[in-house]
Amino acid sequence: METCVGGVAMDLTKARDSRVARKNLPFVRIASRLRASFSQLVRHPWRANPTQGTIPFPSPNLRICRSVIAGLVVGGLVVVSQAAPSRLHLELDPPSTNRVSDDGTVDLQWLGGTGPFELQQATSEDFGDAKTRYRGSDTETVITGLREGSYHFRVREITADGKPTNWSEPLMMEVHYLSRGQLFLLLGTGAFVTTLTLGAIVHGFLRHR
Amino acid sequence: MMTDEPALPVSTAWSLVLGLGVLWVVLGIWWGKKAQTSEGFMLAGRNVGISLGSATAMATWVTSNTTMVAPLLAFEKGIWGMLAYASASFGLMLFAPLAYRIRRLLPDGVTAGDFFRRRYGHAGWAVFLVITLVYSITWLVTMAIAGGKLLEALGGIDYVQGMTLILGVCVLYTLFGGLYAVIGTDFIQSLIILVGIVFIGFEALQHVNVQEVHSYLVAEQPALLDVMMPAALLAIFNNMLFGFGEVMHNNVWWSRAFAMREKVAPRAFFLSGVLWFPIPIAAGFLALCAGPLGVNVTDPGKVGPQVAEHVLGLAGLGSMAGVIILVVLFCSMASSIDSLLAATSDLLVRDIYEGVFGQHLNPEKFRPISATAIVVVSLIAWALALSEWSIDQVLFSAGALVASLIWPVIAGLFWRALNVPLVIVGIIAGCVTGLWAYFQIQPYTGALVGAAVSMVFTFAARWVGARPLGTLTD
Amino acid sequence: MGGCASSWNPHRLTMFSASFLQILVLLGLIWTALGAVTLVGLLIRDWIKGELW
Repeated sequence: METCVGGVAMDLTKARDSRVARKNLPFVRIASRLRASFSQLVRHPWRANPTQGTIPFPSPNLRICRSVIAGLVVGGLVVVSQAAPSRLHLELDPPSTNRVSDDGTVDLQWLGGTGPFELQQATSEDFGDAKTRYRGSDTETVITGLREGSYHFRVREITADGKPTNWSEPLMMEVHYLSRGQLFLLLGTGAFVTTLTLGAIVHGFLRHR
Repeated sequence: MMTDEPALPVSTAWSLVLGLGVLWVVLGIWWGKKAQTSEGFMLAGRNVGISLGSATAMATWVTSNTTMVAPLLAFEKGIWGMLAYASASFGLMLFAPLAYRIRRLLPDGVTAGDFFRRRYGHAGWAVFLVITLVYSITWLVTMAIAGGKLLEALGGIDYVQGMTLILGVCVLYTLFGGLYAVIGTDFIQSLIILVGIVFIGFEALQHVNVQEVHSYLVAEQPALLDVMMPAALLAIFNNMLFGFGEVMHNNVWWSRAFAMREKVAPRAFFLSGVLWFPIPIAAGFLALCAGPLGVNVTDPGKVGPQVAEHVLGLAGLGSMAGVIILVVLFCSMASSIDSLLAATSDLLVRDIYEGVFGQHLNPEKFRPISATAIVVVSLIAWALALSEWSIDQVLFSAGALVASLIWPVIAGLFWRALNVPLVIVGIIAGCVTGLWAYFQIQPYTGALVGAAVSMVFTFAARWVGARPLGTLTD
Repeated sequence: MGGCASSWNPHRLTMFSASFLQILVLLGLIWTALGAVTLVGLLIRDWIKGELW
């Protein structure tokens, strides 16, 4: 099945596989700094013979300073992770990278929130003509009866105090039906076989009645 | 609207199914007293009238597919989805002239196997038996699975227990009463199905009018109203031929043709088709109401019961909604399961036990043999249903097999001369090419290709090396 | 199959009208109801004539 490029939702799988993306993730940057700080805090063995070179143990004041900094960093991470809203992820049900529907049906599910949710559908990428397709606590919906064309979907959570969260990454689906030529071939062949079948039964019945 | 929770308490679901089950079994025992001979057991005395004949044919063709898949098709394929499914009634109507001819040619016939053996010899008979046993058991298994899933979804009953319960109930009353029990219970079940669908449909109209539905569809699901809806149209003739093949070849319908009085059979089958035609439309309409009623559909396969439950809830029926839906669906499944059990076991007795193994069925002592056959069939179905193997694919692909039998049946009943070996080759060719088309091209071409290829061979068999066909009496 | 370009022009498609849907639905429901009535009527007739089974 063909897939259409452009306006496709961010694929978290691609992000995880991309080393560049990983390096740029804030959490990874902080973690690498922690690792570097921590490696300096680890005691190296005190060499018995000071003339062969030893790694000087940090002074007490410096040790305390670094401990405080490390503690602040870890504490800050905890605070940040609790404050950031969970990202809703909109995907097909079952998950698939296929973005073409051949019968005008789209089965959507969204993960990462507790609800209630609002799902929007639009024909333009900027959601200028968006309309709400669903509002409620369910985490999936099936949309049918879509004509040929491109459809963009996005979902957001409405928090307990009525404030909406950010929209999820949009998901684009293309509805593309069977070509007219193939359809008429099927209809023509089917009509031919069915008509002959009906004719044979009626003819046989009338002959033997 | 959340749909994961059962609509009924478990205890209510158990009581309902057990209550209905006891009713069917008691009736089965009562009616079964009329079956004093094997002919009485298998063919209800060959004297069934038009009311019971029409009802049994109609009820058997109303399966859980009719009540569950019709709404699904309407929800996904719109108006054409409903109309295309309704065209499956044409198979029943077309069986009317066949039934007329069957009774003329086979006055002492018992099963469809009798026709294939006498017309197409042992080779044709063997091919027919393989096809029909695969199809019949697959159909039976899908009904058992549907029953188990229904009881689990509606009543919270464990799948294995529910599936075993539905199958067990049908086995019991078929065992005791044979075709008398099947036909008698079919009449009651058909009334429940018809009344239930009408009640739910008119209740839906109390809460949403058709104009609102149409306006909603135009705005939100316009393709469902399109006259040229490709997704709906592409399978229309394939499914029609699938339906023709199912009815024309299967012993479920042949046994009814033999069971009814000779002049009644054609009229009963035609009437059953007429009675069946509006059911997918009435059931399908519910699915179109989902959007206007604000029902969020999360599983299209359950859109019918989901909307029905919502509508009956709006009507203030509360838990009665689940009761009504469960009863209607249970009846639609039981009316097909009992027919399949009876007809398939008849094939095993008549064609395998008597035909292949050359045994003689003692007219007075037929019950143990028939009972064994029913139990064997049900155990096979139960085991396959237990595995929850994705047997839907097998059933749908069987369209290629059954469609390949359409023209051999027509030719064998109505034509005067035929090249029998060529027809048998045509059946096999139709099966092979149909299955190839199903898996390699698209599923909605399997039955069409099977029927077309078999048709070509059968036509050729009329002109190439054709020999006069004899009578069908032994 | 062809590419992503649409081969159907929605403006040329005709749709089933509201009237058609109204007739279809009512016909379906009334026809189904008549089916139940017919079966009961035939049952009574067969029973009276002794032609049930």
